[in-house]
Amino acid sequence: MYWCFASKETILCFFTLILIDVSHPDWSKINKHIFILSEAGKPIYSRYGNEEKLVTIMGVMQALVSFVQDSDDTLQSLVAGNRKYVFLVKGPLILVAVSSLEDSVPQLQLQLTYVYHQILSVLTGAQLEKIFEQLRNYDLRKLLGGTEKFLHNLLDMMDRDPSFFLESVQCLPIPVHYRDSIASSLQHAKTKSLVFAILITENQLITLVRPKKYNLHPADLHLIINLVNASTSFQSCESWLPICLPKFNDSGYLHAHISYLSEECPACLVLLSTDKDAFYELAESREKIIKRLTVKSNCIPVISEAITTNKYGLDYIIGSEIWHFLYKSKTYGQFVSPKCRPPYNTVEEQTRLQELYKYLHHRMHASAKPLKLVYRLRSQEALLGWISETFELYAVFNPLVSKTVAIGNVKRLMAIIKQEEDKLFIVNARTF
Amino acid sequence: MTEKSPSTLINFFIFNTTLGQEEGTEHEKILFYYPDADNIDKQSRSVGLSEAIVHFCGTFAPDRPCEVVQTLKSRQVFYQPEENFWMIMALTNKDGNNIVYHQDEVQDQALQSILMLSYKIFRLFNGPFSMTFNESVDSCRELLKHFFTRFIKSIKLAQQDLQDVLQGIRFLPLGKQQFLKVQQFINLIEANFSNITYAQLLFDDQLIWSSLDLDHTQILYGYLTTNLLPNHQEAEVASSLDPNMNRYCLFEPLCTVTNYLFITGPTELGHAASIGKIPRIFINKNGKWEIFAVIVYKVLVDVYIDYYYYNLTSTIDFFRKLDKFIGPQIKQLTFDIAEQNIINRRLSLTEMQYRFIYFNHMNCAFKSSIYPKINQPAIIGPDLMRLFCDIHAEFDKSKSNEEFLAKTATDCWVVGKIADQRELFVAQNLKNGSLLDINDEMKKLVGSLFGNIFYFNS
Repeated sequence: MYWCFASKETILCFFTLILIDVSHPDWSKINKHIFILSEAGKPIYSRYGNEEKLVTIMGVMQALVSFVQDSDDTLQSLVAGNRKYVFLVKGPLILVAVSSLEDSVPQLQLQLTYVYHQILSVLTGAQLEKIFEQLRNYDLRKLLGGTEKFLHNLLDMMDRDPSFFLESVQCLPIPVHYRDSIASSLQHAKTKSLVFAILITENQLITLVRPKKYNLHPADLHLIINLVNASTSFQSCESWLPICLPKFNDSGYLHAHISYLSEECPACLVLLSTDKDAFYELAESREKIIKRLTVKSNCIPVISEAITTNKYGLDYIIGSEIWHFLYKSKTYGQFVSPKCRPPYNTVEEQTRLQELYKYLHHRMHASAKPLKLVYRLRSQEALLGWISETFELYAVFNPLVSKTVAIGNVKRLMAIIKQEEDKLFIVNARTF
Repeated sequence: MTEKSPSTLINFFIFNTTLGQEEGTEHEKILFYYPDADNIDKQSRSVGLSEAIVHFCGTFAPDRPCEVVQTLKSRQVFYQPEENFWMIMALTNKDGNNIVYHQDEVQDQALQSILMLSYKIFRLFNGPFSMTFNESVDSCRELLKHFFTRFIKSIKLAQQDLQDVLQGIRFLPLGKQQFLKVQQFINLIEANFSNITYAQLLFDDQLIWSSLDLDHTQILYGYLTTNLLPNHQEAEVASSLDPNMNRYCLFEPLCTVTNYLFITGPTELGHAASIGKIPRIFINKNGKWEIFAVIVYKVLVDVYIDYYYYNLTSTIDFFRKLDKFIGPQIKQLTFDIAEQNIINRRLSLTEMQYRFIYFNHMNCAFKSSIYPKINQPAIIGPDLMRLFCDIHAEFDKSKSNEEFLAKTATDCWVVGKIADQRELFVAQNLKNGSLLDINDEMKKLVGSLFGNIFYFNS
């Protein structure tokens, strides 16, 4: 009876998750639904509620999509008040998002694409096509069984982590010479079939080594981060599992060797190989890496410290004037952001903060009329968005601060980021 | 680069969900459909899809009906003017040979305002949909066809902008003295003619007085300034160019002698037969729709217009009496107002330095240096105008006092402010200007143009 230990909210959430359907009074209160169905209208997944009970509504979705298809067109979105309905047809799947949050239509389309990629990461595109070619009415849940938690986790992450709409990754701030020696340790463990070696912690990247010819797309990296985050089983033992990275190659699997550096250090090492029998080969690589990290450079305690204290981060900039910010370096394709402090210290407020960023991001990137700078003063906060050739900055200020003071703060912030650039970002890309 | 063509209308239809409930009779739902070249099957499909979408959205939020549908090739806007009635309009445009709808071509709110406005004008002349619908569905279809076929021809998609969304009223500011004179004049008319219920007074396209409520004033003002009066003027210009036209020759003596005339009503006070057709309008008086006639009376000195509503029966005697009563009084009043207008024009020279739109939600007052005249296209680029529309839509959503400053990709600054239901939008070119520079510029503008509005001075 684990429930005894769960908070009342979690239990409530759990029940809502299972019991809710269209007739439930809380149905319309849910702020973001995600549905996946097959082209034949068979339910595959629903973020809330049991998809069995949602057969009718998913049938309607399928009917709408195919009705529009009949006239040689594609249904994209509906808007009703503050609620957006976004449809995405990908291969044999129909994905639908219903959101009353700030997410714009393009942002929701991106999220649905992520959901689709998550499914591909389990099945590969080739297999998915083949299944539905053979049996149009196939119940895909048979093959996806057990992977729902990864979808759930991905969806939760997309609601609170800016990496997704920024299409970039956040790095763990760490002094450059430490980062360099960590990367060298990874480089030294190269084997025949090793493609990517990645060291991550929670949602931050520590370092990444890749082949000269290939890049790891942020979208693929997010899937790996989600995989590590969604499961606790990797902490106890070395794991070996196939994963398809759709941007890298959507028709085949890579094989991932996943393990934590040590019991004390919450950094996770992911080694990706093209060979499905390479477990022992990669386990050996892991041993080499750990040995080098402990004996040669003593990096493990540095990583642990960076994770727990965030000593090298930018948290100290946050104060009574500037409340929070996101800074994305276009040069490195990475971003930095401080930990949330008051007023963003509750889950509700953090969600709201993400909403503000999503709004600002969309406002600045709206395709027909992109903007260079936006300053919006609202009763709760002042928002600043600034895009140049090399960076994107999104910041939230105390609404009582004058524009002069706000601009002063921004200048200071930019100077500090410039100065600490090599700590905040991975500035030297490493290859095998 | 491929040529982008402007948006074009695919269809425009109105349907009632209570009709055609049985399978195979879905086409009965349709009350109006444009283009009528579409066959019944295609019409039923369009209506069927729209209804399905309405239902679908209803399962998630019953109180928020669907507003916009986006497909790869088209954009549809929905409007539910009355219970069970839906108005739907779909647009498309071509990108070279590919039909792909450009999402940002025309702003959603501007599109919806077309539907809303068309409905309100319809209601003004015919009463609500349900009124005729409940009498007879067939006559309702006839009426809609008669009205909307003409309306659709007048839609200018490319020109739809913030002006259409706001449906504002340009007021003519008057001094206290003149304002009291106007009020006295109106009161005298309403007191002397018991069948005159409401009165409105306009100078050129600026409103001076209206005794109607705001909603009706707004719609009637819009109709008069964008439709009736420009049409009348055109006819007048045409007649002066073509002196052979009999009808207008009859006009001549009247114009030169008295300098004023009825635009709706008798063309000649000596002939009872010349009363002609007087427009009827529906006004919601204490929750009941009542029919009124509109009489527009115009003084030629300075395009000065004045009209009255009264209960239906009208004899030539009434017009003679009205003419005799108004005639002598209005001359002095016109003179005063014209004088004030000259002063106002001088003031507006300062306004012309800036490119702005001001709108007050409380009285729908609209002021702008961007439109040379009402119903004319804006003098700022469509990109800036779309940004204005976007900012307005965001203000509309948040409903609190806010400020918005933005620098576009072409280095132009756009500023929006909303305070106590007053909105101000400004576009300003400031080469290499910073956020602080534009902030100073705004302070200057607000100081010189809106110094008397406390809320903007923060």
